[in-house]
Amino acid sequence: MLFNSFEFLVFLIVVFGLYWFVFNTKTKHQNILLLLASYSFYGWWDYRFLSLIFISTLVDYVVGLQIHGTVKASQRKVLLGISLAFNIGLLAFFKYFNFFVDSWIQVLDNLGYLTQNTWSLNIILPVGISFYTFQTMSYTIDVYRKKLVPTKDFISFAAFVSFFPQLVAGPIERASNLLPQILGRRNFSYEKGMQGLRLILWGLVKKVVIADVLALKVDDIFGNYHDFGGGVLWLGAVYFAIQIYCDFSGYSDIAIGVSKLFGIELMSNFKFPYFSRNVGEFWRRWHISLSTWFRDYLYIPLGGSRMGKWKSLNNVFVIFLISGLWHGANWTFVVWGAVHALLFVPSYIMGRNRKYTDAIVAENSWFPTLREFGEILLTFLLVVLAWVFFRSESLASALEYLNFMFTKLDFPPIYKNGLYSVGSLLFLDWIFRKDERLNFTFLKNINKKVLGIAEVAVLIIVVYLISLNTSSSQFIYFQF
Amino acid sequence: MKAFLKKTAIFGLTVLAYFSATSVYNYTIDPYGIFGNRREFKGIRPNEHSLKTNHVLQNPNRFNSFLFSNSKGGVLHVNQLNTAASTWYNMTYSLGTPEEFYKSLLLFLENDVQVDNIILAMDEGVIYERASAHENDASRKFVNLQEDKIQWEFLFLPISIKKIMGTDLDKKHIEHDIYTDGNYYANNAYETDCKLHENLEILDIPDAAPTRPLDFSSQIEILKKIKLLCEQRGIKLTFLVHPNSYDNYISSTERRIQFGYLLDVLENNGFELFRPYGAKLLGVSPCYWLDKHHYTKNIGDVILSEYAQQWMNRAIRQ
Repeated sequence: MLFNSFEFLVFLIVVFGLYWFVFNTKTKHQNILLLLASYSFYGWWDYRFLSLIFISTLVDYVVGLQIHGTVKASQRKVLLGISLAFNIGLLAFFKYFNFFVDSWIQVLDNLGYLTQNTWSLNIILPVGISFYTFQTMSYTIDVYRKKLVPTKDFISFAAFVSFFPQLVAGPIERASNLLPQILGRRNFSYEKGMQGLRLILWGLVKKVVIADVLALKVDDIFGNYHDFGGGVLWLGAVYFAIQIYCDFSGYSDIAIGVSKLFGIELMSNFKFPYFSRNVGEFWRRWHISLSTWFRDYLYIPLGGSRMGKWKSLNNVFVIFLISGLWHGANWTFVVWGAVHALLFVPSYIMGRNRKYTDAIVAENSWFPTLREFGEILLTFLLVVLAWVFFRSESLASALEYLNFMFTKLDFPPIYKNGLYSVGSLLFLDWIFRKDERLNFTFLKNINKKVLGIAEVAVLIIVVYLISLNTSSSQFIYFQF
Repeated sequence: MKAFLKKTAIFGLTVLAYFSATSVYNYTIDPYGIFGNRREFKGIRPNEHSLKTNHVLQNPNRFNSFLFSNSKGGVLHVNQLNTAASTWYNMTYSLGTPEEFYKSLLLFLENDVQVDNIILAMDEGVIYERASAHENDASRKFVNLQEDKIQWEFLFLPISIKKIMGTDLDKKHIEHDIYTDGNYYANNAYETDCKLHENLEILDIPDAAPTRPLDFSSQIEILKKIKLLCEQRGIKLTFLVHPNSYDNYISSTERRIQFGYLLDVLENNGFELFRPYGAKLLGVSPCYWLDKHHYTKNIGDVILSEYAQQWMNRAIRQ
């Protein structure tokens, strides 16, 4: 079930009504409803894979309790190993089996040993498997680290693992944040409800009005890159950067907004990443739930930055490569991760990677300085170039695409109109950052309603301009 | 909760009212002709791709000769070519591409439409216009109207004042015929009694090669498919190259140079091209150009006359 579908609208209204008006007397009843709703939501896509979520839930529920009840360190380690082996095993089989087999066969083939691949299997990738396995693993690891007391309430735990707003595309929640909210009493708040609706609408605009419109251009440009000059290829890469941001962050916005309707707060997943001043800052603002997951459960256990420069650099590469592989079973994703590692390394070596951890660009000013603007632009361009690997079908086509971008450079004869979408997104994002950036007294004094109306007006104008730009032909309203 | 539900209900009702209004508008005004409530299209652009294809499929024995073109071909009034043996229909629609023409042709043949002659007209759109871009475009997306189902997406398109006013296209008062011959009629948009030899300034296309030639393999492949299909089915096929205006050439020279290069590549690959006015650019005059892209029926008549005299009777089999 997609967020931007009519089925989901009906589903959401029904579940919301039952949640607050029928099952509202007991938290347990609400959790049973959440669990049933989440399984229905997932089963709408393919009910057969519900068994995977259930087994994953069961394993981590039992292992969590067992770890908590075991004092002996070696036994605790074995139990943790069982959970990790199971979850990583699931991922390895469903997501990476064919990738590893094909890569191995390719190596043997290149060495002249084997030419026939009879090992590959016809495996369907279960939606969201990378998200919920990471979520359950973090639970067990936190219990192992004694940072979390496991719950005995299986229903609540199962609702935590399968919570439908973030089940298939995140944010990857930590048990320490989500589980207590599921176990505790939720009260509806008008403020949260309105925030939730606003986020849902903004997420839909990003997904349907910007990402889906750009997707048509991106698919054509990347699918037929031989046909185009470098100008169009540059546009294609920039469009993809905006498309993937709007698609993914739009989904996260909707997930966070829907959760708010149920009185549950999820973590932020994106914080205006394209206004980052270096790659380090970009990764603190892009897919935050995944990057912090890797930081907490992989980078720090590997030694983080405490083991000397070379070991730390090694850890950086490991994290980026695995992060790349997490996104998909293709060497293009691995190389994408490696490219980001390479882009990150210079600032890491110079000790400038944590330069922008707290400070926000253009804090208390309307616009960034020229220097900041240059840094933002450079970071954006580097990230755009790296996206070419992410979007391409193969490494060869990515390299060829990049080659054409620079060697066939010309003024793009077509597809320039997508720049309206890019400009609109960046403009709106910049405006919506004001709460984070601007501390002007007069802004605080302006009536919230006036500001709200102004924001909605800007949003409507942008949507209208985009619909004009794509002629009156876009089926954008249908998809709402 | 009460305040929240009240606000949500107001918002929901507003959205509902908007969609109700758009659906009533789209169904009754029927700007794209999809619901069958509008049959005349003066000043507005219907979804010709679907309507014309559907018209031919519904009348499989009425026509046996077809012009496939983008909007430039609308003023080629192909019914002038009708003979006892051939009845022409103009399948022109805005931004049509060879890939789409190929699909339409296959659909015709699958549905027992007799096809004897085809003119496939080309310009630089062959390179730069993408069929995939039409998938999300109400005036160009192909909808198989033979299938009996409600076209929901057309019900919820934005309301356009221009469509209501009939000023969707431009000031030329273009009338799209769907149900007779498929031609465009640009009534009172240009002078009809111009003397072609007096005002038509003809200039040589500058001899320029693209600095970085594009890879035309996908374009050539689809044209080869069309050629092969016509050969297999015994269809007389002519590749027509639309003449170009000087102003249009100047305004986007790189595109024209690339297109010129594609034509050279096609000819080197054994394609025979019908190029009225040869490698010449036409001067812009109101007699001959509706705008810098679209020539008038005066030019269209010259092209058809040349076709009738030199190409149709040569029984071209590409």
